[in-house]
Amino acid sequence: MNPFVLFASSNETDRRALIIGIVILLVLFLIIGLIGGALRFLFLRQSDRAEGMINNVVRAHVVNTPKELKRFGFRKNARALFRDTLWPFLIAFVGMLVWIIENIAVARWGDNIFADFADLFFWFDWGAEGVIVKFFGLPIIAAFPPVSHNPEFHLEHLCHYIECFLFIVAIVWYAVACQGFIARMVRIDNLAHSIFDSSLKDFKAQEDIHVTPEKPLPPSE
Amino acid sequence: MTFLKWFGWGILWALLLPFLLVAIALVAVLGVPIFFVELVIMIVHFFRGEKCFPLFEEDKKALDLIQQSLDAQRAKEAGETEPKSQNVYVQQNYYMNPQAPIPPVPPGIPGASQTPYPQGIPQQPPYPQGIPGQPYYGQPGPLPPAVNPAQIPAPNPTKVVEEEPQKPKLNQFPAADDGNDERGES
Repeated sequence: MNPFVLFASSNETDRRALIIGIVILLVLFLIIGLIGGALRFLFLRQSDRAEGMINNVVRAHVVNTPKELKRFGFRKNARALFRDTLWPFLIAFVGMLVWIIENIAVARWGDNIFADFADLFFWFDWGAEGVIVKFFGLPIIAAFPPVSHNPEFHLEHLCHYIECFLFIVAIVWYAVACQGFIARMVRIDNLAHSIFDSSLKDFKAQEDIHVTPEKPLPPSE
Repeated sequence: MTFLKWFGWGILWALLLPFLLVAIALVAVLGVPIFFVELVIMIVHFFRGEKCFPLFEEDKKALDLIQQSLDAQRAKEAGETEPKSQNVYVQQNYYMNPQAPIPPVPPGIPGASQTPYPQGIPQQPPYPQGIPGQPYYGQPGPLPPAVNPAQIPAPNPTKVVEEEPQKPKLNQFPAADDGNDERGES
C-alpha cells in the first residue's frame, strides 16, 4: 500500500508516533554525522600535517626507499606525538598533584573520585520497568528513563571535581593526539608506497618501442 | 547537497568509530613510552645547550640541498638579467671614385645597359636656392612653402607670459664691478 495513503488513513496517535520517530532518526543522523565528520576532519588535517613533515626530505631525494621514508616518518611522527601530548600529560600531572596533596591533607586515599564527580550530574534508572523492551529479541528503548539522582554539589568533594575534570580533559586531548598519530602514520605509509612506486601496471612494451626510420639520401645530380 | 554529502561521510566514519577506538587505545599505550623517550631526549638536548627539538640529519641534508639549488637558480637568473656587452662596429663607407672607369656590365643580365656611364656619376641639376620665380627641378613657378602660414597660431594678446626674473646663481660669486676677475685678484 502507498505509505502516504497509509499515513492518511492512520489515526492521530499513530501519526504522532511516526513523526516523533522520524524526528528522532533525523536527530540521530545529525549527531552521528557530526561526530563522524569531526573525526574525518581531524584525520584529514593530520594527514596534511604528515605531508608537510616529510616534504623537504622527499623533494630533495634524501630518502630514496619506502623503508627509509617509513623509518624517518615514524621518528618525525613520534616527535609530533610528544609535542601534541605534552599538554595532556602536564594537565594529568597537575590533576595527580592535586590528588596527592589532597590525600596527604585529609587522608582519603580510598575514595572513588569519579563516583563523587558523578554526583554533579543526573542519574537515570535504565533498569526501571518499561524503559527497555524486547522487540524481536532486540532491546529497544521504549520510554524515557526516570531520574534516580539529581545533581548535588558537596564542598568536601571539590578537589575530586577538579581532579576528575583535569583527568577527563587530559584523556580526551590524549585520545585526539593519538588519533592524529594514527592518521599521520597511515598517510606516511600510503605515501611511502605511492612516491617510490615502480609498478608496471600501465606499461605496454609494444607501445614503448619507438623506431626512427632512416632518412633517405638526397638525390644525386 | 554538500551538507548531506558531508553528513554521509560522517556516518561512514562513525561506523568506523569502534575500530578507530581500538586503534587509539593501542596507540595510547604505545604513546606513553614514546613520550618518555622523547622527554629524555629533549632533556639531554636541553642540558647540552642545544635546541630542545633539533632538526633531524635528514632534514638538515634536505635543507642544504634545497638551499644550494636555490642559490644556483638565483645565480643563473642574475646572469640572465645582466646587460649584455654591446659590440660597437665601426662602419666603413667606401665611396666610388668618380674619376675611375666603371667596368662594363657582363653580358646576360637582362635590363642592364651595356654601355658604361662615361663620367661615373650622372650630373645632377643644381638644387634651387628657394628664390621665387626660379625653376624648381626644371618646373617653372614659385617654390612651395615649407610651412603653411595658416597653420602658424596667431599671437594671443590676452595671454601674457612674463619672463621669470633671473635669479643669481648661488654657487658662483657675482662679478666684481671694479674690473677684478671672479677670483678677486687684481
